[in-house]
Amino acid sequence: MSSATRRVAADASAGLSPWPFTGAALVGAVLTVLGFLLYYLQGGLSAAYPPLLWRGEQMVVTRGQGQPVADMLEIRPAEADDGVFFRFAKNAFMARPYGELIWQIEGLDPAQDIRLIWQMQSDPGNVRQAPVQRVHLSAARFDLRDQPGWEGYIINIGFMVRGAFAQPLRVRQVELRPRALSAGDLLEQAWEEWSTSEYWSPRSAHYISGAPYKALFHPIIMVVVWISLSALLYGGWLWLAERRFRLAGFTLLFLMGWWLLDLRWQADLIQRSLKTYPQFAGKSEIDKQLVADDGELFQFLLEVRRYLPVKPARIFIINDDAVNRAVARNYLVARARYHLLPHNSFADVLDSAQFGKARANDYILVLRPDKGLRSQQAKLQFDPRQRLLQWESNRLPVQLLYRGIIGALFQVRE
Amino acid sequence: MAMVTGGLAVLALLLPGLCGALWLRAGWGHRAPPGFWPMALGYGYLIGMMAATLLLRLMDAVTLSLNFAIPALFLAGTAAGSAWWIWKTADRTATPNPGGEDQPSWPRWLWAGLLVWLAARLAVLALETVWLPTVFPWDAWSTWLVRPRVWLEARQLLAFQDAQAWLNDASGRVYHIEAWQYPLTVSLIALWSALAAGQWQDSIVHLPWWACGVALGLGGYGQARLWGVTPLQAMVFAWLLLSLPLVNVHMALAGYADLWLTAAFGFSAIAFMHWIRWRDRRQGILAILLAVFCASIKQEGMVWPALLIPALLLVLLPKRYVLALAGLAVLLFGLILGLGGLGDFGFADSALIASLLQRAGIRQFHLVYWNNWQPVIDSLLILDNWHLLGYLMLMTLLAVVGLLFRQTWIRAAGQQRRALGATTLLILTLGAAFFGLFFFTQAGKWAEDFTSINRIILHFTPVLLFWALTVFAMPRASAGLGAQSVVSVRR
Repeated sequence: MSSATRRVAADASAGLSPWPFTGAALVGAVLTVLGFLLYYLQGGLSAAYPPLLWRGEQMVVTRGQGQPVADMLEIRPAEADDGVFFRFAKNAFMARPYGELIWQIEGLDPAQDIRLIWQMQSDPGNVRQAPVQRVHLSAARFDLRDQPGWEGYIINIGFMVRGAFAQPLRVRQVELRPRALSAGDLLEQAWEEWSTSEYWSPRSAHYISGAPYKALFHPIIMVVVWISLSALLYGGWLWLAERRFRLAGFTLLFLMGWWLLDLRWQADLIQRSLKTYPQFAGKSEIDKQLVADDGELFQFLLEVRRYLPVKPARIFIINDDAVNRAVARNYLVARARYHLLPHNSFADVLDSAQFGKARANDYILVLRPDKGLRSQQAKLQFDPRQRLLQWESNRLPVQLLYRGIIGALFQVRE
Repeated sequence: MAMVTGGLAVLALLLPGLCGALWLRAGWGHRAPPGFWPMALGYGYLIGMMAATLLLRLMDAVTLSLNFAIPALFLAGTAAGSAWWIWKTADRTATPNPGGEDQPSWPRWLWAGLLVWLAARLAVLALETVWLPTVFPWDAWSTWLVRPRVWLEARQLLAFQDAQAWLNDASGRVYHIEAWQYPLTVSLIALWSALAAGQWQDSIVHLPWWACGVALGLGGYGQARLWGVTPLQAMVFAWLLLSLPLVNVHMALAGYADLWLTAAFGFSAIAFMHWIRWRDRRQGILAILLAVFCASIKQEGMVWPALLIPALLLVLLPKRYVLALAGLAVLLFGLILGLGGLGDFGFADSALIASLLQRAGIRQFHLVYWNNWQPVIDSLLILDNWHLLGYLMLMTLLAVVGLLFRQTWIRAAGQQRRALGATTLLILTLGAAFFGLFFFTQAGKWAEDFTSINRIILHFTPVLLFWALTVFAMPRASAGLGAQSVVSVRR
């Protein structure tokens, strides 16, 4: 039979050739997984996960007072407090590839309670911690490999130190070094990356990472490689068998890849629903808000509402915590405005001149999310004897209606 | 009481869609071709919602206290009228199923399987929509859902103005949010559901967003069938569209305006593509109607319909005029770069042009190059915002280039080829707008942290996917127009 005749015969049975197609897809999948594994086992891991180094000036002190000294960060506890907490710069990373934490910190005392604290993306409410023992202190290194809870995608990590401080801490740098992973470890890592679910957050409407950002086995990349290899294999078979190249097979490969990603996404959505259900399902509108992330604020505002009239009133909402304002982009006042609807709140009070425009019978809600910890830095000062609320040169005669931990409600007097 | 509230909420959800579908059917003609009813339900939902918001604005304009009953009765009345008209005029003869008996069964099974898959997806999203309070979507609780809560209480559309107006107001009836200038439509959509329920409940107010996503799938499926593709191909298209993660997120985290703009602009552009290909006037009217709706949703919605103009000119004008216009555009762009360079668009060294631009209402803005290739590549090709959509677009572009220059196709395809050129120009115009926005304007600074880049891509996803469908699944004839579906182009 001539090759032309063979081609006509092959064309006569046009359409997808199921066994070669399936073979190409399966072999493509195996080659993809093997390719990734070999790359990482042969040294690609160190390129993907270099050591993480944080210098003192990059640390964020969230409890205590820090100031740069030479090339270090000097941290001491705040007054009437016996602890400090400082976290390393907030760049998230996968836990598994990293094994050893090494630090250059002066002032740590074995008598102190020293803990490494971290937070996982998939379980942000459950903060993990590991005590740093004397032997770790003397070596200034800590092996994380066998720590329970050292897994997943780490979004926050830092040191908590409590006890007596004979001298301030001086932090020069902290380094996290990668470790070698076996093929089994890598496959576990792949499963973890593919099955991770990040739950909803304010940034969900802007992008979905699909896997931790620096994933080793990112779903999109893996699927594209799989489709490409399988298409090459199938195309190669078609060429060798002198079959006509039809779009159907390649389209099907592409759609299978899309479906695989969609399957992963569907599993992600189901995991999110499994978290949403116990937290919010079946609850009243008020109970939902109480268990939400800003539940404490909502609880406070429920009390505030009792002192507001039924008819919508004008309310100035001021976040009197400069640190919180800078970090949270006025999230707090905007949320307070939403929770107080339909009251007529002004949540953009930027300066004392705007504050000074409050009229008689207007309300002023002052929020202190730091719960008074930085009260010496607060802009608004209330004089209870003269019943005056002052911000720079602007003073308003007010009546204090309600004071809670995170704020106070005033009404402007005549 | 809860059952009554729930029932009214469901009515608020279904009534606009039903009305819109019946209006479309009444205006479509004697026969409903394959794919018509899904298209009508999808498009009808948006048109019905648009009508509901217009009725609320009208009530406020004539100082009627806002309520659900009056606009609902009006909608129901017009729907009943449309139903009567359809009953009176519709052609009820059965459409023969060509070769239905000999078709293999696997496409039907696959179609059913995809439908079950989508139903499961929509069910999970519906649960999230109902369970979640308005806590995660920032724009929802800071802007779009603030106004309807105030309006619900006051039963009128109280004004939202700038900060100075609020500080100076003595009446207490002027409100303020940062985005006080944003259009009202999306807030009115939320108000519609709240009026039906008679109270503010997040779970009820969120439902229109979920329904908008469902409408997107239905409208897309219907338009694909009207284009002439098979039911399985249309279902694959609907699945690809509704499987996009960010489409799902905007359904579950209700309260952003982007999903509505996605549906409105997507439907408008898809109807426009139908008109380009088949010169179906009804699709042309739909395109215009939805384009008008776009403009009332978000500020970008005032610009996106203008991106249809280059393709429209390519279709309407003789080739020599098109080439002349293209040359003029290139010259103008070169002039802008040559005079001002990449700097202040106010042309510091050209007072004449600066004053002309000021008179045209174009304030000064900065043209600065932002090197945003990495965020764009990450968004489209690495992160799982869009599954494999970015790769699909690259392959479709290659396929189009191959088709447009393939000699055998050039000779045989005629109108089909010209239509593909026009629809591809539409896609390229969207790409150019995206590129200009994130690489040359202030919007570029929000690309790095992905704050807005994906929400702009979201607006374009239905038309991008439909374009890919038209390239890879060439129809034999339009289902919408029947056998008489090839129209000559005026040149």
